[in-house]
Amino acid sequence: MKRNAILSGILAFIPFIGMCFSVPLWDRIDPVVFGLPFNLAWLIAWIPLTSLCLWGVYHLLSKRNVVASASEGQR
Amino acid sequence: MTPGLIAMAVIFSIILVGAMIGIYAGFRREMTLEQWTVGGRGFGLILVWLLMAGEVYTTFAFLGASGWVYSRGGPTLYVIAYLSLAYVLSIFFLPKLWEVGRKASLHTVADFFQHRYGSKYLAAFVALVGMLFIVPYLQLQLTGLGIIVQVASFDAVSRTAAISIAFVVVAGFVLSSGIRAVAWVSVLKDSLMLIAAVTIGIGVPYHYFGGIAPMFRELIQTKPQHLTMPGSTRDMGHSWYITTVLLTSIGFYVWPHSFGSMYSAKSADTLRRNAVIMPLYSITLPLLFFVGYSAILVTPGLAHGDLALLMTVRKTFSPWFLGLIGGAGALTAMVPAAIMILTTGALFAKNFVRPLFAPAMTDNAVATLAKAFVVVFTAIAMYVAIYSSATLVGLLLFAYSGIAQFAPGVIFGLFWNRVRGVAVFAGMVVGVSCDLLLIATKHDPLLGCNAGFLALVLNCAVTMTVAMFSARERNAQASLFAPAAEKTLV
Repeated sequence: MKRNAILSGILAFIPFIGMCFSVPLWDRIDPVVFGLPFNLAWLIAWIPLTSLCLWGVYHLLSKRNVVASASEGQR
Repeated sequence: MTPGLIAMAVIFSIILVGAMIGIYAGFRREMTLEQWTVGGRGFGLILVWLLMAGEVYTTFAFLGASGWVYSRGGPTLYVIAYLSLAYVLSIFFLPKLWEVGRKASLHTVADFFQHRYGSKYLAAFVALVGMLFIVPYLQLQLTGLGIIVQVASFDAVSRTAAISIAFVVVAGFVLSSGIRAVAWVSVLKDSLMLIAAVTIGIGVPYHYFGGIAPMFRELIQTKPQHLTMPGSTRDMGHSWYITTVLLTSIGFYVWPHSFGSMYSAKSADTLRRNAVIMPLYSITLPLLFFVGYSAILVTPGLAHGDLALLMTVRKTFSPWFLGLIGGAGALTAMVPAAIMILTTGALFAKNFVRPLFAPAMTDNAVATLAKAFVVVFTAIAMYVAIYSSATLVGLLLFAYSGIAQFAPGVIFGLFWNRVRGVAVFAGMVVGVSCDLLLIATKHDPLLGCNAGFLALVLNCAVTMTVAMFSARERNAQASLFAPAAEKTLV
């Protein structure tokens, strides 16, 4: 349970690194990807990646809930 | 028929259809306060998704983001980042907030402060700050509607008249419906918006350059510095980008109107699933960026960047298509404006007037007062919209800098029992006044950082310091998830 909370925290932090804190690394025009400047292409790529991370978080969080309610039931 | 008339006719037909859907959706339900503000807390995944999407993709995204791409360039990329990152935070906070809201039947953000900290003065202060900073956001929507009418009428309707028309349309729409209506109009709005974004996002670059890649190739040759940060600004570099993304993604879910649509969800799980799919909705946003980038080459020299998208559409397509885009744009302004006005009415009547001046007021009287305030409030925003020249994105950033000051009160309130009303109040007063001071004295950005973010850091520091030094005794309100018998609502 604790492990899931930590994992979901880490998973949620990944998009912040990708889209926010790493900006000096990807804010440039080259290499041009599919005709788009690199910074724009990078951010577009991170939109589905963010959803993917959140999907992971969702599963970790709901698994935690299932475990919690199951242990409550046993009591 | 002149081109202006054709475009205007199409726009107003779309608005009319939207209004009719809205009125029909709200028609056969009795409008209690609970129904009007949070839709009886019975919305499923799809409706909540529509409602929340409807708030995000406002005129700001439609005209404002493309306008900033046109006039500022690189820094506008923050918009793509913050919309996704806000949902990352929401997956942790919203379900918990929802849980509290359901157990204590809360409607507004101020209700939450009242419930958690047990002070009606703190709640009234939150209501006041919320109303204050929703004005620029509402002003943004009215300005956007005004721009649409002005451009689509080929400048036959003046700006002032256009904004007045916008006021009548929005206030009428809100008074005749409620939040359920708003959700259903979002269906029409989002489908139109999607069609609009795809057609012009791909159509405009193809028409002038033969594709998106050739368009960027030409931009990279002629204006390479515009595409990266700080773009065509002096002081919006990487530190500005990081602080702005943080400020806006934190501020995103403490918006007073987000509370309303969040509480309308059927379950906490609905909100979690919603957070997973919401970022995908913003995949259409870059299409609007493409129009802004094309406009740099197609319609250079516009006095106001916010005109860029519509002027380019007007130059490229036939009048009826301009009308279709304008109609989609009009709905993207009306829907969020309606939600904001509904929220403000509730804040004013329920959290400000009733607790401070008229404790004996019934729920029905509160609902009536809220509706009366809707008209006054929208008129204030209309007045400001007519006499201001701020850019749409500038307005949104100003609004965010103030609203984000609620975040410490909400987050600490949920996760840190020790924090009391005094600490939150002190932090908020410091944060809000620091923010207003920096912006009024034109110190935004300060040292390359977003002024609102600096104010938020100060706010957190003050809240935490006061919380550390205040008495250790356990607050009755502190345990949010206590059994109902233990809970005392002061």
